[in-house]
Amino acid sequence: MADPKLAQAAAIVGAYEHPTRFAPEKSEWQLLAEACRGAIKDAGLSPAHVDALFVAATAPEGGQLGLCTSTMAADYLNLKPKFIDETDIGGASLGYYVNRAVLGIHAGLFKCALIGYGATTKSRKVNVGTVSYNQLTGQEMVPIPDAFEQIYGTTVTAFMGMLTQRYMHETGLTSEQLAHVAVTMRQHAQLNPHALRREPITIDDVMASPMIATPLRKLDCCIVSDGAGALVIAHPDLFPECAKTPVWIRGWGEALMTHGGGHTNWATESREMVARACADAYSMAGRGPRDIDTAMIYDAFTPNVIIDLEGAGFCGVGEGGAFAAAGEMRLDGGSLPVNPDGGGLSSNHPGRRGIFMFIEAVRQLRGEATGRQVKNAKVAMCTATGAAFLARRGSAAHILEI
Amino acid sequence: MQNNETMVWTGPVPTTVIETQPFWNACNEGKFLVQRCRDCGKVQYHYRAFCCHCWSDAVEDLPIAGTGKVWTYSVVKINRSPQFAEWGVYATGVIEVPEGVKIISRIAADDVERVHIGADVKLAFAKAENGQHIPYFVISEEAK
Repeated sequence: MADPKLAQAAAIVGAYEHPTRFAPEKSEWQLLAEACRGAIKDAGLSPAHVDALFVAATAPEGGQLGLCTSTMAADYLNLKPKFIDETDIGGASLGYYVNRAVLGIHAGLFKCALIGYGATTKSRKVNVGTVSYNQLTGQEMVPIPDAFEQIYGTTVTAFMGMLTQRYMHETGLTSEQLAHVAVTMRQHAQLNPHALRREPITIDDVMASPMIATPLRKLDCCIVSDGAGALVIAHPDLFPECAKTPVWIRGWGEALMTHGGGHTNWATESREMVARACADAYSMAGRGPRDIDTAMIYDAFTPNVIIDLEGAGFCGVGEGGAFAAAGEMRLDGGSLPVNPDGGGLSSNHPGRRGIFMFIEAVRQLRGEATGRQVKNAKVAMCTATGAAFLARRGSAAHILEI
Repeated sequence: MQNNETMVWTGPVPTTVIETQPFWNACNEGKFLVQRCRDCGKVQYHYRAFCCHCWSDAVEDLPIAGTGKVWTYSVVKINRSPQFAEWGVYATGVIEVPEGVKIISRIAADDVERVHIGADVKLAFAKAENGQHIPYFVISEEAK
């Protein structure tokens, strides 16, 4: 069992989501810097406070920041952190940085961690979901395991299509239920002036949108945006200097899944991986699914939301589709408002959405989510699953409280 | 893609390394190798130099019989990579073989819209321009 003192170790004291969703006139570094400056300002701290830096690569989603990302970012930002990390588990990476920041603060290694991400995926016209992985990453096909898999046309969307097809087969999930996820996220995006896609959509619109890779249609897939965000995580010693009420990181967990030498059931293991990460987060925080006022769920595709709802225990296995279709995720009357900002499906998804979930959670817990505020939100959960390639994936779960 | 074992492979050609060369050489002899561990008895795919289940060196080649069932699949309508331009609409999927593992592959069918979970498939090979035989699976006639 994890050290229970981790639940009192650190809090998010600064958060900033760049308002842009399309910035062809800016570099990735520039967007990253603007987000970092925004988060430090939000925290009421200065760059001199930063003694740990975590920056996500963009190259795996067709961007320009690939090798030694945090070191290169420290140079660009002219910071001298004692501690850096750039653990890579795709879009979930940002949540892993939160955990490493908490660990380092708890261990006394540093007191102020800056976590940042910026990408110009939209303005650089990267087709993240619909090209071969080698083309997306600009990497050569390697003999293990790419040569056994990528020669068969497995795009990101095709992988998620395969996983979804099996999930439907095993649980009875339907395409129409998935469409409800997309419609709910779009309803929320209409309340977010910065969301990329705000025009209303209906279930029929989702079902009539072009098929990309069965059973996933265009509106089952996240949007591609430019974007940037940053978080400042601090030791309680710094709280008196901070501008706003700290948002505590009360519990977190991580879990991985692999192909298991050809034995893994991608469908059940995807859900059980989320469940393992959530179990650790609940245990550390002393919380359960019923304590959560609002959830930020990484919605790269509509089925990710269903799998996480079931994995986190917000509903039973096989009930996620009905939960979504009954409007339970809606800000307007749902029992568990999910992604009030519109999520990756409608608001912001440059490739690694993980950081925006924390920023929206902070806004909700501080009561700053004007126009889309979850009333009396005191406890928020974030769940994110990212992928290396195909079913080699990792989940992170977090419970935040004010 | 036709249900024809002399088909020409138009997709990407696999890269190889000494560790995986026996798998690709066997393809050229019409065999698809999974591996079984003499120590723990478990089967693994893809090909590697040790048993990923117990980390023993004692892995031996196990050519599959060539049958299987579709465990899952996706009919890919849009792949913008030029290297797949000739494929049009195609099915990629996971085949469960009786030897006990799941294999990512391409699923060929006269009508890919009829591919479904549980469909019987059989092993086939296509020949790439460099002479390498590439394994894939074809929907069995009796499954239609």
